[in-house]
Amino acid sequence: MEPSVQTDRVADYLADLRLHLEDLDPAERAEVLDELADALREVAAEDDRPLREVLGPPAEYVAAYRASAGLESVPSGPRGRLRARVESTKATLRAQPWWPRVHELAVLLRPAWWTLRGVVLAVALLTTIWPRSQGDVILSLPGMLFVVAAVTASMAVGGGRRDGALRLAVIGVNVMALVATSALIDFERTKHLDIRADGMASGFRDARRTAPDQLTAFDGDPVTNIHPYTRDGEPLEDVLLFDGEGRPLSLARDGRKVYDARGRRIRIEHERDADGQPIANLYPLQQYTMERDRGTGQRIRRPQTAPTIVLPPAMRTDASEAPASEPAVEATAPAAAPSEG
Amino acid sequence: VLDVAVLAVLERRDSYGYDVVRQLREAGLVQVGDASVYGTLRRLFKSGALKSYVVPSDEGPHRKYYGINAAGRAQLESGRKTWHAFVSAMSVVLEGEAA
Repeated sequence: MEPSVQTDRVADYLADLRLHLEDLDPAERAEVLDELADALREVAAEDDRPLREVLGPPAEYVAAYRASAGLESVPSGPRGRLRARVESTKATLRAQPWWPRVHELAVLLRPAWWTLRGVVLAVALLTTIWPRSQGDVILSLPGMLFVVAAVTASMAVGGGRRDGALRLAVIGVNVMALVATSALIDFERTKHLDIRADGMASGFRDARRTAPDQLTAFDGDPVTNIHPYTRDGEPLEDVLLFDGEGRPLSLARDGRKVYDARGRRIRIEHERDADGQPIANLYPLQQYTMERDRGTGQRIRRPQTAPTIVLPPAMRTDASEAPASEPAVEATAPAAAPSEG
Repeated sequence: VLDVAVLAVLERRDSYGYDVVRQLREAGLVQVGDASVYGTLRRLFKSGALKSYVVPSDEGPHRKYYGINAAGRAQLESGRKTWHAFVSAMSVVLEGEAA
């Protein structure tokens, strides 16, 4: 056989072997390939057949080599390192004296986790799909059936075998369930705070709707804006409000996110001070909502208009002379006592 | 088992990878794969049971030779004992069954 043809056969087979050794450390890979190249040349010199025929498929050849050399396939790169770290952590944990008992307990508690996971994911899903129901959907019959179905599915997945993509999916779902659990716990906590805060909220619905970080009226509805008027019914603008302690009075904790009674976000354009900080207690707040235009389907800004107000009766006579400008002031009592003449 | 076989071959004389394969085949271990022998050589070398050196060759490329060292000999001895114990135990079992 021509030496060059022989070299080609070796090089081809060697290239295939290299593909299956990609994960090795480069120095080690070079060493291994060097050694195998010598061996392949010996084989090629003695046998004219293609090396695949003599030695079998490269994948099997490498597998046999790795198995006997003790070179387990540990992928390199960030993923490989992560996997190696996870494995070593697992090994360390297993070596602990308390590990068997903890592991046994964890195995016993698995059904409890599967149940919790099902409930939490079902609740999270339902409240995400129907945010306006404020959780009532869970207490409805279909909602409860959905929760039961989710728990059943979670138990079935937990009890079954899983490998590959399914295993990865289950890990993802578990992470989601954990996040949802902490979110629910946080929600429960703020709910109680809010009930304490306004003393009137009647449980779930009102507490959620008033958004605990927002100023509420006595009925639990959120206060979305403040419109000051003069006693003549004249709307005032650029009014700075402070509470009894001299603190700027803003409607929401962060001063930016305000929700109406239906849970819709009302966006605010604050005027800014010299330092660029929004002035959150300058009223009335310039507000708008983002809505979808029914015709074009585009999202448009809809400025919030001032509400229709009713002045206290005793003031009506004076107010009747006020110019009926924006916002519409229902101050023109028709049969009010004439003030003129 | 392959460990002991490779060590035994190298106990007779130092050799390079393909030569070890050839000797094992000549001894009757025809099923043994090239790759398994090379992998075993690498592992034994890394574990300190073998020494290694390169010998220039006139006909072709340089060859990497392996030789057994003290640790390798100890491992071989222990392997031999285990093997003999296994073989005699198996003989008793098999003859006992045959009887």
